[in-house]
Amino acid sequence: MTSSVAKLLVKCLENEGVKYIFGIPGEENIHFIDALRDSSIRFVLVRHEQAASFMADMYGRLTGQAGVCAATLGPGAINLLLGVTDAFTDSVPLVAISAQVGLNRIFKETHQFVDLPNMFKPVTKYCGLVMTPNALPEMVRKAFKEAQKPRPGACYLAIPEDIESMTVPDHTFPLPINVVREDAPSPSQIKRAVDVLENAKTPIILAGHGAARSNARDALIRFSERLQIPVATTFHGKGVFPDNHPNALGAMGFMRHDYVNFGFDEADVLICVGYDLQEFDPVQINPKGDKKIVHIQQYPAEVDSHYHLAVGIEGSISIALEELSRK
Amino acid sequence: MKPPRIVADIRSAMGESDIVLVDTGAVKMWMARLYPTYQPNTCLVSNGLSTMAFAFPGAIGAKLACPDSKILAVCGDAGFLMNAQELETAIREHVHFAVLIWVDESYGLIKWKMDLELGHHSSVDFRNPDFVKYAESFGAKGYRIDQTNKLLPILKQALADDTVSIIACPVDYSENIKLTNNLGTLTEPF
Repeated sequence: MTSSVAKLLVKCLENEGVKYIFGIPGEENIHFIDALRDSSIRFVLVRHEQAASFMADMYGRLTGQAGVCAATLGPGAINLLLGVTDAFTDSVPLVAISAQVGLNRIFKETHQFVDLPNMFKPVTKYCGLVMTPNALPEMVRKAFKEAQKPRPGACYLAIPEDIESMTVPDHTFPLPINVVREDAPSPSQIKRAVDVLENAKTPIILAGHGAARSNARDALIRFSERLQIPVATTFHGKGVFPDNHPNALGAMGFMRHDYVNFGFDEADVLICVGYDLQEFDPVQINPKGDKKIVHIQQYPAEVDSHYHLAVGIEGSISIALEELSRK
Repeated sequence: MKPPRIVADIRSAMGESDIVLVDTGAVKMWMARLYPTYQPNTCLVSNGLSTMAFAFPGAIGAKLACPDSKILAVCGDAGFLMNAQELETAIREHVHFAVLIWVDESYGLIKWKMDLELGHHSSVDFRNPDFVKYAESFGAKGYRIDQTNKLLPILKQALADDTVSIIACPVDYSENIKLTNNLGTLTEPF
């Protein structure tokens, strides 16, 4: 039976499968820290909240479950920003939770108050201030759902000091989890891609981190072998195609013209698998903007003058590659 | 030691599923280009943001995420000291991994770009503590590489140590300018 917001928060985090929280306690979240003592969640005390945000970042990157970091209000929360931003820009699931000044004084100039949600807004998928105890289960569920569903990223929740120690009604529970599952791409997208590939003379594959998130390594190997197309990876996507494979070109992304770039110069069709524009500027692989691009990702491509698509395939990357191999 | 040799030794010491975290800087140039990687998420870099300071503390999160894998944080001496205080966290929490610091006593990537574009550099050089004594003062293990052929055995030893092991390895970045001369213009830092 939960009786306080702090205990309910711990229950919600346990419900999300959280095993570790990295952070530093503050005067404004002592009830939350105290409630963790009776929890299966291990609180890892650190020496700088920035480090906690990086620990959560790497944890999320490796497990696909949101890494969680926690801090107090003001300076503690601000110290979380760098790892939160790293997760946001590298499509990594992460949830950051901090205290905030109480609702009794948040509306005016007051000691240690800064507008934290607005500081986190540009570097999160979702951020919110918990304004009433009843809001907690939905806001925690939303933070984790947004963090973990494609395209993954960072989320932030601020919990005012006075809310943290309020009571909740006895029958307030965490929300059940709905997992967003990926599905097969549409047959019409596959058909259009097949048309492009059949007419390609020198296709090349660029694999990005999206392929790692989708566990598409095996499908990518089969696709490359079946069609005999060489594969380069982005730095973020290293290892999604094994570097000791005969079709491997290695990693590319920063030198304007590295050895691997020669392959892209010669290519007429670029098959971009799990590549996000954040990984590197597409001008490097498509300097004149004239190459045919087949984009395979769990979500539609972003806009860039050097990333005009011939075909966009949206859905499970592994299934897309298998379908293309078959045809 | 020359960067390609350090990269090769790291690859020899690490298994296919072991995980290396590479901090941002000249060290990332060499590792990202040259480190053969066979499984996804076994060579972790900060790509979109390309921030420094993540690899050493990040290794703590990585070890807790993948307790059965060996974890190696590869940092420059600048990036390491940005969050080195977490050595206390790692020892206290019994989260064990190895750290390889490429020591050049400067912000090497910035120096590289300055030399390339301006022909000279400024405000990028610094000094370091004795990394072995620093590690030991936290109750961790420290190693110093003073001969090229000692790196591989010490890496293997450090990865097998049941603690946090810090290896300080001097790096010869005269290779940097040679690389860009061979390849053409370096267009942007990261």
